[in-house]
Amino acid sequence: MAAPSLDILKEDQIRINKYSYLNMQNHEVQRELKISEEKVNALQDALDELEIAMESEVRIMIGESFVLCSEETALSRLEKLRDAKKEELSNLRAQAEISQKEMSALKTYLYAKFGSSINLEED
Amino acid sequence: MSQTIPLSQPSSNPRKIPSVVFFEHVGELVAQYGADPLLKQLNELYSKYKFMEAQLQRSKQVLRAKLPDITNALEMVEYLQSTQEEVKVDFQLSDCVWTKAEIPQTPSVALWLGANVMLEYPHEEAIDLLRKNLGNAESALESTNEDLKFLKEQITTCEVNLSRVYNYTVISRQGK
Repeated sequence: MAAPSLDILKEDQIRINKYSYLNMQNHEVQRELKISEEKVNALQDALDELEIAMESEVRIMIGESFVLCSEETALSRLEKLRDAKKEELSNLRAQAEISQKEMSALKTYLYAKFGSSINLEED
Repeated sequence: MSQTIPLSQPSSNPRKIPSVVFFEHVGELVAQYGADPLLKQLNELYSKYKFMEAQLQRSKQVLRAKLPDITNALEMVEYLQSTQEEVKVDFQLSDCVWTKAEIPQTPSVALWLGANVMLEYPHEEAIDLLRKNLGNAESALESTNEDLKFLKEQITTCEVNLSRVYNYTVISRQGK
């Protein structure tokens, strides 16, 4: 962050700190979003392949090993996992949206108050 | 003569990390303590916070790596408990070597507790233990995150303090 003006109110310091924290948190959430999206896609692909393959017995990954089980067991397990991950993904997206809204409100306020004395961009 | 400038104070943080003192008027502070000692001590405080932040980030990585191990173990034990017949698996013997195994119906599983110790538990107890470990790891991760949030606030305040004092000295020097 570049040079702010000389006398700062406590509330403004709190706002700056909040923006900084939201920024850090947003990076984390974006990272987790990406991982979650990939997981959902992988699970959906697995489900599609399973339907096409029409095997009676398949191996699915449990923990770190592959367990042989019937197609129905695999199907229901995968569907449950995929739905859980989808919900996780939409929660993450909601969280990202909330913090981004808050960040842009703070940004507007801080730029209005401090103008060019403050820099809130990513470098 | 060097005096310790009160730049930090005890806080309500559970891990007793001190918080940075916020001052509204830079001029008074510079007049009281002098710009150079101020800048020097502020920089020291700043590096301490940054060091602590790096430490916490490292331990956060370690915790995050532990979580999938516990969840995998839990998944497997729950699956073993749920099946009524023997389980056929392909598991990893070593890097690039996989092999088949037949796991008969057993009432218990053995859990690796670390320190070269492995204990046998019935399914229910194993699941309880793993769930407890998972809960502990998750709450440790949460408190690390809480500390990181607190630290981030202190670091930001410290940075702002530093630049304000510095700017004050620049402006007052220009004024002279």
